[in-house]
Amino acid sequence: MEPGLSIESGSAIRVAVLPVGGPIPPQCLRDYAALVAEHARVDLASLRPYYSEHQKSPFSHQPWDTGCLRLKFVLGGCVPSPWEDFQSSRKVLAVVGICHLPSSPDLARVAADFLDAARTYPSSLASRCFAFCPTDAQLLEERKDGIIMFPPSDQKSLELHMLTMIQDLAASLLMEFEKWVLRAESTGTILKTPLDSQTSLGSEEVIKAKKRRLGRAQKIIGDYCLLAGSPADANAHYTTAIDLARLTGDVFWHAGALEGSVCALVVDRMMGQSDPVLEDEVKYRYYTIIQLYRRATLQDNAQRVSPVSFELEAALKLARYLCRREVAKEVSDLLMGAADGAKALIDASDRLILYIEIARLFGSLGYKRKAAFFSRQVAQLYLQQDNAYAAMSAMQVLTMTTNAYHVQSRKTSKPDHASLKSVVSLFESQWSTLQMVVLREILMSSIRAADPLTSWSAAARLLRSFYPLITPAGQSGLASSLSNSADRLPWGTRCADPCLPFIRLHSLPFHPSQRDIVKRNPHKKEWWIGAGPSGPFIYTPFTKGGTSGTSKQEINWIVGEPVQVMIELANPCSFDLVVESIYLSVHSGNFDAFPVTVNLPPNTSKLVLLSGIPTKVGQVSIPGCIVHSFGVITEHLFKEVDSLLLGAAQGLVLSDPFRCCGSSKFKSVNFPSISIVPPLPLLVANVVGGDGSILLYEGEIRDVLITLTNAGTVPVEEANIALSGKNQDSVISIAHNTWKSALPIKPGGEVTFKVTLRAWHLSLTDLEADGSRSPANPRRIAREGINPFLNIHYAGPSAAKGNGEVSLPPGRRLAVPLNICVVQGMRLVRARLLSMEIPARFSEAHLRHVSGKDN
Amino acid sequence: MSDMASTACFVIVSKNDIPIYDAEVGSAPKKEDQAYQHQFILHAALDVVQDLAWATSAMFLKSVDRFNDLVVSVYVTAGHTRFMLLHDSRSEDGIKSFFQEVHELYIKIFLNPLYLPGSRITSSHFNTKVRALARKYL
Repeated sequence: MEPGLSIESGSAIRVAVLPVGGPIPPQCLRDYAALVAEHARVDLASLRPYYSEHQKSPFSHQPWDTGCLRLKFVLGGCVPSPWEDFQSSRKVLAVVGICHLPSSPDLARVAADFLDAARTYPSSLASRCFAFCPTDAQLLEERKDGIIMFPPSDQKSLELHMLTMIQDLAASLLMEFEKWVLRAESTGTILKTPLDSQTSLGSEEVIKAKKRRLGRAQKIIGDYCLLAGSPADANAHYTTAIDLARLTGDVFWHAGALEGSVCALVVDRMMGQSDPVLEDEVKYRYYTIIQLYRRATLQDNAQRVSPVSFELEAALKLARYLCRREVAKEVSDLLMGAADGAKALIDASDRLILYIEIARLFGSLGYKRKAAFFSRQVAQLYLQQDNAYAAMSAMQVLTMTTNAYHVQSRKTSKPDHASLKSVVSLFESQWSTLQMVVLREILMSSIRAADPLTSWSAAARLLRSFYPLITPAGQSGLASSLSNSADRLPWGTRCADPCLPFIRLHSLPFHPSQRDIVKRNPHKKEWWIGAGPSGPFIYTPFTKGGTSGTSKQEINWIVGEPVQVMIELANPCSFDLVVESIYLSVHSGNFDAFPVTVNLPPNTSKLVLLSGIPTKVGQVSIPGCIVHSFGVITEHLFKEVDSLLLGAAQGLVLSDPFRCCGSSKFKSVNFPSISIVPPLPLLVANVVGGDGSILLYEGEIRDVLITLTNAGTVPVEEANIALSGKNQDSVISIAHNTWKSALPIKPGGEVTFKVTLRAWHLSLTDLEADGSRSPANPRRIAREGINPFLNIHYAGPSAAKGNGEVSLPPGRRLAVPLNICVVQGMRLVRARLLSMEIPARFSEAHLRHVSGKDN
Repeated sequence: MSDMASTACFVIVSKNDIPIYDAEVGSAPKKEDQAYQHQFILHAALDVVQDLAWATSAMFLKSVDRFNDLVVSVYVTAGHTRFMLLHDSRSEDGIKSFFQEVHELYIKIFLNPLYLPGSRITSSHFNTKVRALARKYL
C-alpha cells in the first residue's frame, strides 16, 4: 500500500530524486529538492520546443493546448513495487540526481555514482543529473555524461533554469512513452502481476492467459496515455480493456481498467467545477471497482498474495475524492469499511499506512475524535516496533491526538481566551480514563525515544490533573519519572506544563507605611484636605465606596520598599515535595522577587510569604509564581487554580487539592490592580523620652519633643501638620516654624520640634474607670480613642516626565498618636474639724484677779 | 439472551460531551486494557453521532458505528444526552428496550433537586438498576 493516493494519482509520472556524490548538507538538500519538486505540473504547450516528433504519435487526441504532464517526485527513491506492471504509475519512470559540487570535486566520480543509482531503477525511461554550486574550474570542464550544472545565482534564475530542465525531461519522457506504446501495440507483451505467478500451466490456463493478454495490454497502453497527458486516448483504450476483461473474466484487470477510466474522466474534467453528475458517475464506478477487487480477493483466496490492499486503496481514494462535510456519512462508512479490512492485511506497514490514511481523511472531514482514535492505532503499531525512531514517531503521533482528548501541552495551546475555554476544558476532564491512557502512552514512548522534556511534560500533566485517580505507588513512580527525566535535561530547562504544588493567592499583607498613600491632585495646593480617615464613619457620601473586599482594589507599591504576598501551597500527593525555589512571577519587568525554599510533606498545605522589591514605576502584573521543582522551572498561574477550584465547587472536577489537604474553604481572591509609584520619603516619628504614655497631671502644661526621621530614599519637600482626634484643645501649640525651616529633610535627616500639651480635667466617668485600678499602681495606660493625633502629610519632589510635564507622585500620611495619660491631681475630697484639747494657758493677769477676790 | 460471554460497555454522555456515567455491563470477564479500548471507541463514535442525531427525529439511532466486530448503538434524549452502548451483535429490540428503561431511570435522577445536571451520576441505586436491566435485555 502507498500513502497519499488519490484518484488522480494514476496520471502522475513517478520520478525518483536521488542524492549522488559526496555528502550534501541537509539544508542544501532540502533547498535543491524543493527547487526540483516545484514543477509538479508541466504544461504540454511549454514542452513543444523540446519535443520532436520522430513518428506519428499514438496519442491522437493529445490536448497540446490545455493539457499537462503531472510529475510526482519521490525524494530518496522508493522500493520497486511488485505491482508495477499492473499500474504504471507505480513504476519509477525517471531518475533525477542531485549533487552538491563543493563536496564532490571529482565530476567523473559523480557521473559514475549517478549511473549506478539509475541502474537500480530498470523501469526508468529518462534520467538527469543536476549539479549545484559548481566552482569556476568545474564549470570550465567539459560536461561529462550529462551532468547539468546549475551555476550559483539568485533564486529566480535558478528556478527558471530548473523549469527549463524539467520541461526538457518531461519532453523526453513523452517521447519515450510514445515509443513504448507503439512497441506495445505491435508486439504482444506479457504482463503479469504477483497474482499470476502461481497459476499452474495447464492448457486451459494457457489459453486463458493468451486471451487476457490483449485486454491487459490495452489497459497498460491506457495507463501510458494517461501518463502522457492524453485522457481522451486513455479512455478509448480503457473501454476496450474493460470489455475484453469482462469477456475473459479477468476480474482484477477489469477493476484496474475501470480505475484507469475513472482517473481519465476526473483528470479530463479537472478544469471545470465539480458537478454532481460527475461525482455520481465516479461513485458508481468506484463502488463497482471495490466489488471487483473483493471478488478478485475471494477468487484467489488460495494464493499467498492477496490483492486486498487494492480494494482498501480504492475505498480510500473514493473517500478522499468525496471528502466533504455534506457527504460525511458516506465517507465515514467508506473509511470504517476500510478499517475493517485492516485485519486482512498481512504486512504490518500496510496496516500502518491504512490507519494513517484513515486518520488523515477523518481529520480533513472534521471528525477530530475519529482522527485521534486512528492516530492512536497508528501509534500502537509504532510502539510494537522495537526501535527509538519508531518510538519517536509514536510519540509525535500521540502528541497530535492530545488536542482531541484535551490533554494538550500548554506549549501547543494558544493563550486561552479568558476563562471560558478553561471551564469547558474542565468539563472534558471527565473522560479521565482516556486522558490518562494517552498521557501514559506519551510518557512511555518519550522515554523509549529518549526525549526527556516530553516525558517530563507528560508525567507533569498526568500527576497534576489525575492525582486522585492514581495510587500512592503510582504517584511515587511518576515523581521518580520526573526526577529521572530532569537528570537528562540541562540545568535551567523550562517546561510549559506545571506540575506540583498547587498554588493560590491568599492575601496581600500590608505594612502600615504602605497604607497611607495619598494621591496628589496637581491643581489642589492643599492636597491633604479630604484625604485620610474622615472621622468615625467608614462610609460617607463623599468617599468612593468601601475600602477592601470590593471588586477591583487599587493598591500602590513604592519603588525600593519591600512588599509581601501571601500564597498557599498544597501538595495533595502522597510523597514529600521539595520545592527548591519559588518566587513571584512578574511579567511587567519592574519587580525583583526573592525566592524561598519550601518542603511540603504529603497531603498538606502551607501558607508562604513571598516578598520582593518593586524597582520601576508602572503597573505590576503578577499572574503567578515561578517554581523550581523536580529539576525543571515552570510557571504556575493563579487563574488556572481559581478555575480548578470553581469547577471543584460545582462538582465537575475530580477533586479540590486544597480541601483534601485540610485547608479551610476559601473564597477566591482577585488579584488587585497594583501600580508602582516612584520612591517616596518615609517619615518615622519618635516621641523623645519614650514612646509610651506622656504622663501628665491634671492641668499640667508640658513640652513634648517629637523627632521626625526620614527613612526613605528621597527628601521630604513639603509637609503639613494638622491635628485630629479627640481632645485637640489639649495641644496648645506646635512649633511649626521649627520643622518648616528644616525642609527639605534629606534621606536620613531628622528634625525635632516642640509640642506643648496641657492635660485636661478628668471627668467623673474617667475617675470611676480609673478607680477600678489599684491606686498604688503608678502606671497609667492611655485610654484608646481619647487622644489627639498629629496628622502629618508629606511629599517628596515631583518627578519630571519626559514630555515636559511634571508628574506628582503621591504623598504620604503619618499619624502620630499623642498618648496622653492624665493622672489625677490633688483634689480636696473631704474636710472635717477634729476635736482637740488645748491646754489652758494662765497668764499673771488671770492669776492676780482670782487672788484679789479672796481677802 | 445467549449464554456466551458478551462484551458490552454503556456510557451516558451529556450534551457538553462529558461522560456522566459509564459501566461495563457485559458478562465477559473484565480486562483493563479492553475497558480502555471500549471507551476510546465510544469517544470516537461521538463524531458520527453528532451528525446523525440532527438528521433524524427518532431517539433510537440504532447502530451508528463499528470497529473490529464491536458495534456502537446510540439513543439520543430530548436534552441531547446520548446513551451509547458498545456491544457485539445483539438484537435491536433488546437494545431499544434497554435504552428506554434506562431513560426512565435517568429522568428520575434528574428529578432529584440535589443533582447538578451535567455532573457525574454517583447513585449506587442507579448503578444496580442499570446492571440489572443490562442482564435482562442484553
